[in-house]
Amino acid sequence: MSGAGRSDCAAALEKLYDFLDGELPDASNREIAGHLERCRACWPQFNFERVFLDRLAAVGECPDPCPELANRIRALLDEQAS
Amino acid sequence: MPSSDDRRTQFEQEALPHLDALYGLALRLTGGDEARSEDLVQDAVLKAWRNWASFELGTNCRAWLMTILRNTFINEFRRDRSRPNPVEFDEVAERPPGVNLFEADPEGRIFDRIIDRQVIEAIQGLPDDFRVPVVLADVEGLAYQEIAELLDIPVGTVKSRLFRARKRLQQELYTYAVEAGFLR
Repeated sequence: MSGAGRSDCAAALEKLYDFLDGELPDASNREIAGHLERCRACWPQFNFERVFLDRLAAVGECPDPCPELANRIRALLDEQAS
Repeated sequence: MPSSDDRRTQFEQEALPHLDALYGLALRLTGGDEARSEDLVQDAVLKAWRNWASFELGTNCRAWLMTILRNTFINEFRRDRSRPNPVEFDEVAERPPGVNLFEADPEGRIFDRIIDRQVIEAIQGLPDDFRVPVVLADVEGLAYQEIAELLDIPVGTVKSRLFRARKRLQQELYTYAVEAGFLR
């Protein structure tokens, strides 16, 4: 890979999380997306981080049961009403 | 105008099914503190009840409640100025050098095998100043700017804390994956 290619990689990796978090302006976003289509070295790293972040996001849908809480809250609502 | 009994019934039907989700978010934010999480859920639900007139039926009640809980937590978190300065990860735990989940498992296959509970424990085990941004960004999907405003810290600090927290989580999950025999 040429020197210019390596500096593209460095620039892309520096913005890895900004890119995956959807925090980049359109132009930089397109630049990195274009780089990832061409670069075999960077794509796996971005993909790995995306899978990782998706895994973290998935626990947002994971509730924790707390059976007594509903009764306590109903009692508090009753108190507020009286 | 609905009667107060109707309002109460409506509130219970709309809001109370989300208690488990609210309690889950509270646990993530507090780092697994059950008593504090129960108080947070209670405070948030009572606040929601007091403001029930402002909730538009048919819109997303869960999201509305989650926002109330998040704001309730953040107010406490920001008010608590007695907290020690941000803990430096490097001081907390020395990790063996060269531990790198990406190198061991570049396709991230182990993320399918690691159970939710393990991911949650890893998140909840982070120090406050790293855990809260991760929960807000990665679990709740807030933008850097929103997190910076909520926590009253610069965007650059949000980014650096997220970066370090995510690397730490990868290390934790790597250690777990090795112990569980998913990786050698």
